[in-house]
Order: sequence, then C-alpha cells, then structure tokens
Amino acid sequence: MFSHTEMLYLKMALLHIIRRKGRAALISIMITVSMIGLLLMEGMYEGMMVQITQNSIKTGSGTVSIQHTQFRSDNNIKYTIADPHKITALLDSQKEVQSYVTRINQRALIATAGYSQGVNITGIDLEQESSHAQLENFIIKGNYTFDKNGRGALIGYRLAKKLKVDIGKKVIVTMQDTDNEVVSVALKIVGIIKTNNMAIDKNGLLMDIKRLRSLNGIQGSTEISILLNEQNDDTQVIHSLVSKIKDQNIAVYSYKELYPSLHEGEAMMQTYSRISSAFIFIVATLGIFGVVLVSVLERVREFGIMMAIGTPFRAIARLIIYESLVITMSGYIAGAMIGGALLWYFKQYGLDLSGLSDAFAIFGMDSSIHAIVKSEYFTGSFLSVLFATLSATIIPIRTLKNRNPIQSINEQQ
Amino acid sequence: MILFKMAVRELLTHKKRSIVTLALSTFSTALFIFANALNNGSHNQIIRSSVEIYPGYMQITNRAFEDNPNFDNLIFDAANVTKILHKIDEINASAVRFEAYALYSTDEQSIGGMFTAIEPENEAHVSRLKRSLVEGEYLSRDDTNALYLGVELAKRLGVGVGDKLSFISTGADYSFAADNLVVKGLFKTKLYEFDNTAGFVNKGYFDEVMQSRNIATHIIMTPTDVKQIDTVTQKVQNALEADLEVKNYKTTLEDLILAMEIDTIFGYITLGIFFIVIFFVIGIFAFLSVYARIRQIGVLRAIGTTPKQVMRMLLIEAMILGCLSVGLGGAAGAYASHHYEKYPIEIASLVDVDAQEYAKQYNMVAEATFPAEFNPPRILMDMLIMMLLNLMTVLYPILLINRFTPTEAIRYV
Repeated sequence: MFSHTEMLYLKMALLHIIRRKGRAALISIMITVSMIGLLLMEGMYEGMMVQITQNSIKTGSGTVSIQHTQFRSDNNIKYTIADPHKITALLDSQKEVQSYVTRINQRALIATAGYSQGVNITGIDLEQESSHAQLENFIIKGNYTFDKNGRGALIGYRLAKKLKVDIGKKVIVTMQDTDNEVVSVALKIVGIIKTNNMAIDKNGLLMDIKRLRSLNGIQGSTEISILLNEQNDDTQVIHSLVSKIKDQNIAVYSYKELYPSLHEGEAMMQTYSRISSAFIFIVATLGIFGVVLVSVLERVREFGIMMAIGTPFRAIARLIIYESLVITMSGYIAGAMIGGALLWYFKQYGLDLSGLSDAFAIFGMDSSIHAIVKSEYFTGSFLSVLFATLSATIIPIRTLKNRNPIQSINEQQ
Repeated sequence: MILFKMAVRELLTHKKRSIVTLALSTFSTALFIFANALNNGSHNQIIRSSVEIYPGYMQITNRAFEDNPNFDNLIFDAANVTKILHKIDEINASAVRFEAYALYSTDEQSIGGMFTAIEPENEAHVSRLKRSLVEGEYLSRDDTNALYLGVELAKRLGVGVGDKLSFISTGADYSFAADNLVVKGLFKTKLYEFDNTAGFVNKGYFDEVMQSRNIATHIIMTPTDVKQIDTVTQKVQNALEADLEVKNYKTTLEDLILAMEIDTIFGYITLGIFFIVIFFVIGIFAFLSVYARIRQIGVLRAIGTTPKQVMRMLLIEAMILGCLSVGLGGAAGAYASHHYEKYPIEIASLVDVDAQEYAKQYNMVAEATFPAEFNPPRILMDMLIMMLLNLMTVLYPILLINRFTPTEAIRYV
C-alpha cells in the first residue's frame, strides 16, 4: 500500500512524535474529548428530537393523517370522512403503510362530582390501536379495555390527577351530536395512560369508537392516522393518496404540517449541531496549529540539512502532514471508539432520568433518553478532523518553505 | 517584583502566543457570561410570562381544594380574606376568582371550557388578562352577561364580539346554572392552550347565576417585591386561618421551573464541551510556552532559583494573562448582557422558526424575543470561575517542569 519511501517518512513522523510525547498526547486527548462530547451531543440530542416526534405522531396524527379539509381549522363534527372504508381499502394496497387506524376526535366537557373541564375525546378501536401505536404499552394503571359494554374509558394521567379520578371512578362526558343536541354519558375509568403526548396526557379521554358513534351520531370518522414504514416516505405517500382518493373534501397531511414545530425543532437541532461542531473544530485547529508550528520551528536546522542533502521540499511537507495526521487521527480513533461505545450503550439502555420525568413530559420526552447512532456522525467528524489537521499545517509549511536551506542550517535554536 | 518583571518580559517576547492565549480566554469568558445571561434572561421571561398571564405570583385556596377540587372546599368568606390582605404591606394587589367549567353552545357548536369569575379592576393588577385584549372591550364591574373570551375558543365556537352564545354549568350549590352570554371582548395571551379554553365574566354577575356570593376558589396576589416571595408567602399564611393555604409560583408552576432547570443543564453541557476544547488549547499553548523555556528555567535553577520561585514566576504569567483576558471578556460579556437586556434578540433573526407554533407544541407562551439578564454579582462569579479555570489549565505544565533537575533541564533537547 505504501512505498518504501512513504514508510520511511511515516517512521520518521512516529519517532518525532515519541520524542515529544507530551504535546502529541495533549492534541490527541483534545481531539478524543471533543469527539466524545460531539458524538454524545449529536446522538443524544437527535435521540431526544426523534423521541419527541415519535411520541407525538405515534399516539397522535401518525406520519400521515387523513381528515376532512375543514376539520383542521374548525373541529366541528359535521366535517367528517363520510366513507373511511373506501380510503382504508386504498391503504391496504399501499406498501409504504405500516399500519393505520380510524378515530373520532371531539371536544367535550368532562365532569366529576365537584369539578369539570374541557376534554379531547377520542373514539378508538382497541385492537386496531394495539397493532398501530401499541397503546397498551402506555397504560400505567388499570387495564387496556373498555369493559364488556363499552362504558369504560382510558384517561390521560395528568387529567386524572387534576380531576382526582382513579380506576373504577365515574366521569360524566357531555358533548354535542350531529343534530347539535347536547348528549352525555357516564363512563368508568378503567385505565390511566401516559404517552408523553401532552394532548392526550393532559386533556385526553379515550373511549370505544362504537359507543361514541352511538352518542354523537357520526358514522364515518374524523381522522385516519397512518404510520409509515419509513418516516421520510411521507411526501411520496401523500402524492399517491391524493391522486387515488380524488375527493376535494378530503385532505392528506404530513406530520410536518400538523406539527410544524417538530420539524422546525429537528432543523434547529441540526443547525445547532453543525454550528457547535464547526466552532469546536475551528478552536481545535488553533491548538493543532500551535503544536505543528512549534514542532516545525524547533526542527528548522534538521529540515535545512535534509533539504541540503537533496530531500525535496514536498517530502518534508509530507513528513509534517503525516506527523499531524498520526496525532489527530489517533485522537479521532480513540474518540470514535469511546464515543461510539457510549452512544451504543445509551441507544440500547437509554439514559435514565426518571426523577425528572414530569418536567421532561412538558417537552414530550420520555424520562429515559435513547441515543441515535448514525454513520454520518463519524464520517462528518472524520472529515472535520482531517480538514482541521490539513488547515493547521498550511502556515507552518509555508513558513518553512520561505526559508532557504543554508539559512535554516545556520539558525540558532 | 523581579519575578513579575520576568513574567511580563516573557509574555512580551512571545507576543503571538500570548495574544492567541489572551484571545481564546477572553472569548470564552465573554461567551460564558453572555450564554448564562441569555439563558437566565429567557428562562425568567418564560416563567414571568407564564406566571403573569393568569396563574399569578401567589394564590390562596382552601387547604383541601388541591386534593378535592369540588365546591365543598372553597374560600367561603372571600371578603374577610381580602380585608386581611389589604393590611399586609408586602402585598401589592389581590383579586378574587371563582373557577368553574361550562359547556358553551352556539347554534353550530358546543365546546367545554373554563368559565371563570373575576373582579375586572382587581384582576388587571394581578394578571395580563386586560392587556391581552385584541378585540372589543375588557370587562367592567357593572357587566352582567358579558363574556371575555379567548380568541382560539372564539374561533372554534365561531363567535365574534357582539355575538350571543349560551352556557351550562354547575353552580356553587351544585344546581345547574345556565344563561345566555354576549361576547364583549376577545383576548390573546399567546398561550395557545389558555386562549383555546378560557372565558371570563364579571364576578358580580357570576355570583347571581352560580350562587357564589362571597365565595371564591382562588385569591390571587402580587407581592411588592417578587424576590422576597417566600417570606411574603409565609407571612400571608401566618395571617390566615388554618383551613386556607398559600402557595407561590414556585409550587404552582413547579414543572415549568423544573423544565427551565433542565434546559439550563443541557445548556451547560453544550458549553462544557466548548470550554473543554478551549481550555485544552490554552493548556497546549501554556505547555508549549513552558517547554520552550525549559533550558532557560534549567539555567535559572542552576544559579539558585528555587522550584517555588520558578512556579511563582510561571503562575504570575498565567495570572497576568488570566486577569487581562477575564477582565476584557468580563467587560465584553457584561456589555452584551446589558445591551440585550434592553434590546432583546428577535428569535426570527436567528432561526426560521414560527415562535407561535413552537410554543404551542410545548404549551408555553409564544415570545418573539430572547432577552438577556444583566446581573452584576452573577457576572463577577462567572469571571471568578473563568479565572480559576485559566489557572488550573496552566498548573499541569508548571508542575511538570519542576520535575526536571537543573542539569536535565539545561541538557533538554
């Protein structure tokens, strides 16, 4: 792979590094620590953003949501999808679709013996939701059931806390039906749910969709929530569905439209990561530059002798570059290994911050943060370290080039 | 004195190195101070806005109300409590509220929401409800069935100023209460959830309809000095009957305050990574600077300079650079903090994010600006921390150099 001459330069580079272990170690450790810090920052922050997004879309709109065009701006139950089966038949043949559910969403009033407040009612089919959002995994108390006659309800844990209701307690739900009549029903709390989707946890009550239909008279549904195999296929799937559905009363939304802040949050995090990385590597370049410059200036006579005996300047420049690369790349490898191992650990086991779970829930985050590991973290860092190293060697090499060999040999140390 | 002169001469001899170290340390000091100022400023703004929009700085409730928020656990002699509060100098303003929920209905829609009685004139001194008026008029003490409604709730109900709607609720005596209302004004607090659920009427009218004369669920207070809030809370508690409980925002908005603390921690983690790299670079330069003079130090040791004196000389150098950089950085950071406290940063100028949409997702007040906090004691503390970090960074090379014997140092290659 390397010629005999290249190997010789590499050996010379290594020998000089061994001679000046201290400063080489400092640079290497600096790169290692920066790498670990940046990898963890990127992986954990992106993991947090993904978690926030997943918590919202899995139990909420889904990656893609189908609604009546007017429903989003005016949550009126007259704006429903009249024939959801026609649309679900299309979804069955769409290979990008992982799962879908039909839901009815409605605002209502929930009351206990001494307290009442507004609530978001969602009519769901338990079996469908189980294979869609695995809703049963979010039950923290009680059971994942609506009881035999569909008079059970699952309540968000914050709403349950505010209403002071527990398993077995009754709540009265009052709402409007399709004839604008006020209807109400008594429901028994059978389960308390914690999804970290604030819309459900703080204001949500889930009930049997058939029971809800019998109350409000809706035959269709207000929403079809779809999860895709690949989140990034949303645009393609939306185009496909719009062309197949061909109904101007039906709108197909991506989660990016329904939760623009999530998408913007992801973009902000990426920008923030890039700025942080750029800043860290600019500063690191300065450190590498300092060491390389000193290393070059203290060997000016040595290089002068080498040039005097016929070593081309190119070879000396290569020597300096090899030295710098060996130091920085050893730091990169150590940093990538340790940082990668830590990221892998946090990906598998998560960072448990359960003591702060209520505060994290405000941001839609779980109390255990799982990191993301992507190859682009490592390739990006590799290129940054390479670029920083090469940039740091430019001025020292130019400084050396501007001297003539005889002048260099006569140079006093 | 001679050590000081030697230190100064050494710094002036290697101007470039000194300038780079000075620049890095100045920059990191300014960055640390400004980042803290921005962090504290924006958090304080979020907390202040969240407190002042509606919850209030302090509140009085029946002690049993939190566990059982029903109409058996109310403040039954609100007038007497108000009289007591007027005698406490540390209370700047107070206002009585009765919070209930109602089902608001128009021809087209029925939606559950807050139905709260306020004393309009007093309320204006404890919350931002009056200042949040966007259309129509604020309530007055003589109003009867006038409703002051959140814009988002008004949108969902499809009503505007002058429109009629009806409500049904439970009175303080547990009887049904219902009446027609006319929308007098609309408010927008920029807290989406609140604007989407809240409606207010004059307490005088509310008492007639809901049978709640001289009864309240909450009495809200604003202290004269917010910084003394814990002391004032205790004072008010001592002045009231045992069945009443006084809390301040640190308890009522505990989750928000915890969320801000988490945000601060994440900010420190990111800053920590920056500073590790910066101080590594400063350490590298210190290392190079010390090792470049190893022979000089060897000669000094040989002519009788003690290791302590050598250490003192090198420390003086570090202190001169440290004091200069921390002084300059502190001044720059303080100036930036002061400037951006007066003229907060516009969020839109930094990132392409819809602040309203972003805040809606996390149920926070949508602020369009990032203010900094100019806090001189805090700035001085930050400068001290940076000074200590500067000194710690140079400690290792200084300790290392004293391990050499004079002969070894003189012969060092």
